[in-house]
Amino acid sequence: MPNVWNWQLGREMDYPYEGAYPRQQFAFVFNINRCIACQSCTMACKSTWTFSKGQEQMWWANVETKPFGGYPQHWDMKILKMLDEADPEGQAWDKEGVGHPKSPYGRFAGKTIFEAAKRTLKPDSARVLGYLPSDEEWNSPNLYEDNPVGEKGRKGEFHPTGERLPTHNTWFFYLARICNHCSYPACLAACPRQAIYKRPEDGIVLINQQECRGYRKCVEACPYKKSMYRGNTRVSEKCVACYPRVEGRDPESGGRPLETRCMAACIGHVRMQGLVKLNSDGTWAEDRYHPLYYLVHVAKVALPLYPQLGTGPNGFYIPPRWAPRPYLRQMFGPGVDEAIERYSNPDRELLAVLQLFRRSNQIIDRYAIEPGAKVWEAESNGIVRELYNDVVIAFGHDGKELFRTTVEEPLHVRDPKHANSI
Amino acid sequence: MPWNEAEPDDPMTLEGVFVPADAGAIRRMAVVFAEEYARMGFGRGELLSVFHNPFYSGAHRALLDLGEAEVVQIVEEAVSTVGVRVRNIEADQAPHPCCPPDVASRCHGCG
Repeated sequence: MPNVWNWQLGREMDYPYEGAYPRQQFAFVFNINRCIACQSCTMACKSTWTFSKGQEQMWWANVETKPFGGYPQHWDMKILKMLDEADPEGQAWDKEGVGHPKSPYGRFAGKTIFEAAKRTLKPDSARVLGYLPSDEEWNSPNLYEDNPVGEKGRKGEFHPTGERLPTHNTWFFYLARICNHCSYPACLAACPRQAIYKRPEDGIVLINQQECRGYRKCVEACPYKKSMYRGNTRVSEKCVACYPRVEGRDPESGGRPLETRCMAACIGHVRMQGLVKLNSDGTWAEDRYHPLYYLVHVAKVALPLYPQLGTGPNGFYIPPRWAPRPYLRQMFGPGVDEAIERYSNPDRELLAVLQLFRRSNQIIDRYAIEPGAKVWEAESNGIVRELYNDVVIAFGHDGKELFRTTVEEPLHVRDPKHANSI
Repeated sequence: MPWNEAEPDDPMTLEGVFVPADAGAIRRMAVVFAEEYARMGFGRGELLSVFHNPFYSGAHRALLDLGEAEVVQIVEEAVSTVGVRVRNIEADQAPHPCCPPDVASRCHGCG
């Protein structure tokens, strides 16, 4: 197997193909702290791409409740367990090179799904450690999640004194997911027909529907389980990153690149998507005032999802600041503590960039900040918090201004007559 | 849809899963509860009542674990740091334009 540099692991890694990197890479940041699992993203995707016969159980975008939930059920626990069995107690990180752009999180000392496959899989042609979820695991994207089940045997009724039941050792958060359009896609690596490709212009990973024969090797290999089999056409399908929108060919766009449907539909200002420039080795080219580059490589508040799997996911998450840290470290790697610290005590620039989320459906290529007046100061835990009403300006790919907004949001007072109406 | 009682060996049955949290997790969670509600305009009394009400099981659990004094401290800090303050209030209900003028006519957000 050739070696490729995986900057998220801070080291070279085995991959079945030579590294080949697009000019720009489709990437996104989700701020988990803001997600309320309204499923607007889920339904925007569903109503755009997967509303046809045979796609009933197919959710390219979904939001699941962690730690219990998952679609398909237990997807992450299953692949982590398989990796742990292949490399017992070895799935750890060391601090070698930490902070360097080529190894910002240190060095992963364990085995990826590509490397573990060599040890465990037979025949030798098997390239990626994975599994095929059962039909039952696919059939309920939100099984039992957030639904109080009431008393046993009494369907559709809440427990009459539920609020007086013993309190539970409970914590949770919502994890929104789409295909990560990985730099080293496991689906692509596993396809025996080479029907899966990564576009050189934007790094979007697609399945060629003409070439696919429905062997489901991609379904088995994708650790995030975002490649899905469609029974009535007998081919696999996956998130297409709304490529007509990203290309600026959507009728709504007026020729400008638009963010995907799931991003645009997010009412919680959770999501931002863009295209980042890459170096020849697949690392991100320095682009200081690109909002995604800033969040991932400068502020370092956004982290990849399960980087240890080795696929180089291009979806990054601002971790929830209330969830237990060991769980978060497993999910987002060793950068979690620093990310939460910075997000909890944001500086001026981070506060301004966080205001860019969902002010427009157009893809932001660059931002600029005009300093504003100090509007607030307070001390908490010995840390002085300040708020400056800076103006943050977003620019599109053509260099034209998309919008400008302020850090201090105006408070709109609804007429009491219509206080609870829409 | 038929309703069948789950069988004991059914792998799809909901089971309580206890995932251990580290020592500071409950306090961090309580701080986030307090700050989020303080941002929405809750005062000291209202915020404390959230922690005292067993219906809000997460906040109530924090009160049981941390004790009254610590929760009062958390609430005080949240209200005094991120609580509602004097800020720009606009009675104007017109939606803010989210797109340049030439695109606004096609944007649902801009109306």
